[in-house]
Parts: sequence; structure tokens; C-alpha cells
Amino acid sequence: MSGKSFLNVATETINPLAAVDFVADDAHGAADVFIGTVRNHNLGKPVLGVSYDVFDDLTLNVFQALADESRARWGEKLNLYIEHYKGRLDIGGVSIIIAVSSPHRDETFQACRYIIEEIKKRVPIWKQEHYVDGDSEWVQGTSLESR
Amino acid sequence: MQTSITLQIKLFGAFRQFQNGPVTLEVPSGISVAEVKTALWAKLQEIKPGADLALLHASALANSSSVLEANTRLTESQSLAILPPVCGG
Repeated sequence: MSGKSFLNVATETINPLAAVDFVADDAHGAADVFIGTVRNHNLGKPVLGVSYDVFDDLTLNVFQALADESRARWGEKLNLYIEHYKGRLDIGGVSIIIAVSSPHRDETFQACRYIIEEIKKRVPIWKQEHYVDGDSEWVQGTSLESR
Repeated sequence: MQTSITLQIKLFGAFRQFQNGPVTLEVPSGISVAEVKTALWAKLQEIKPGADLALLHASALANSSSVLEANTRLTESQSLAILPPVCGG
């Protein structure tokens, strides 16, 4: 039987414990969790916060593709929780959580790493950093053109 | 007579500087995605004359289910989005 997925774009505070609870399974001996947070600097500039812009529909489609690809590579039994924040966050705010559980640990580490790296390259989400000096800037990213 | 279609193009990320709502383009039916980007370039210049549109070259057009190839031809009115380079996480 295939594992379960929770895929979401959040506008409320992300709760890491909800992710851990969702992927928990009596038949799984391992769970791996990645939590992305807003840090207080980037490229030498002090940062006050970050605003995330999200194309929700396509984001959820790509999350589903990542879930499918992960199960194809590391097993149908994976339970997956992928949630990204939309809106403004202050320093320390949780921007993304990925939780993966599986009968064994190796698959959870690999799938979790795969999902976060692919999200950075494939998911239509953008960051606007807000700096201490009052300036704001959209962070440069990876082009989706000709993928 | 050539028929035309209406494209509503949502703006994301750095393109929000032009306006918050979608841009509307009236274009000929059968237009390619690459040609839509050219039409969008002209529309954005109209909204903000002199704006640096280099970002548009690295940006992709998409619908709600996938990113569109440059040679795809559009024959129906629809809602699209222009996606600058992404950086989630």
C-alpha cells in the first residue's frame, strides 16, 4: 500500500510537530525532517525578514510530482509532508517543512534531501528580502525556461 | 479573418513591480509562447516605460499545471502566469 502525502501552501504559522505527527507510522522505523527558517543575513547584508510569493496551483502540482518521484526512487511506503509558507516572515520564521518517514532511515534522508533541492530549482516560489537599511530586493533564482 | 484570443497573465515575484493584478493581452489565435513573451514585453514597457526587462528573458510562461515550451501554440483564451527565476525553500 502506498504511503500518504500532505502537500500545502500555508498562510498560517507552520507547525513542525504537525508534520512529525502526520508522517508517524507504526510500520516505519525512521522519520527525517527538514525545517527552513529565515536567517538574519544574506550576502553580507543584514536582513529583517522575507516575503514569499507563491503560484499556488502550480506549486501544488510540482509538490505532487516530487512526491511521486520520491516514491518511485525510495519506495511506495514513504509518508510525505511538504508545506511552504506564503507571506511575510520575520527572522527565525519557518518558511518550509519537509517530513519523510519510511521503514528504514536511508530512504528518509535521501528523499528529504532530494525534495528540498528540487523545490529550490523547480517550484514557483520567490523570496523578497527586507533589509535593515529599509531596502527590499527579490532574490535571484533558477530559471524555469527550457526545463 | 484572423481570430484573436485573450490571455490574462498573472505577475509574480519581481514582476509585481508593474502591477499587482494580471495583465491582459489580446493576441492572434495560434500565437507561440515565445511570441506571447514579446507581446508581454511591449505591454510591460507601456505600463512602466524604460523599465529593465532583462528578467523577462530568463522567465517562463506557465499555466496552473505546467511550464509551457517556447514553441507551444495557443488557440484558446486562458489564464497564464509569468514566472521569474525561482528560489523557494
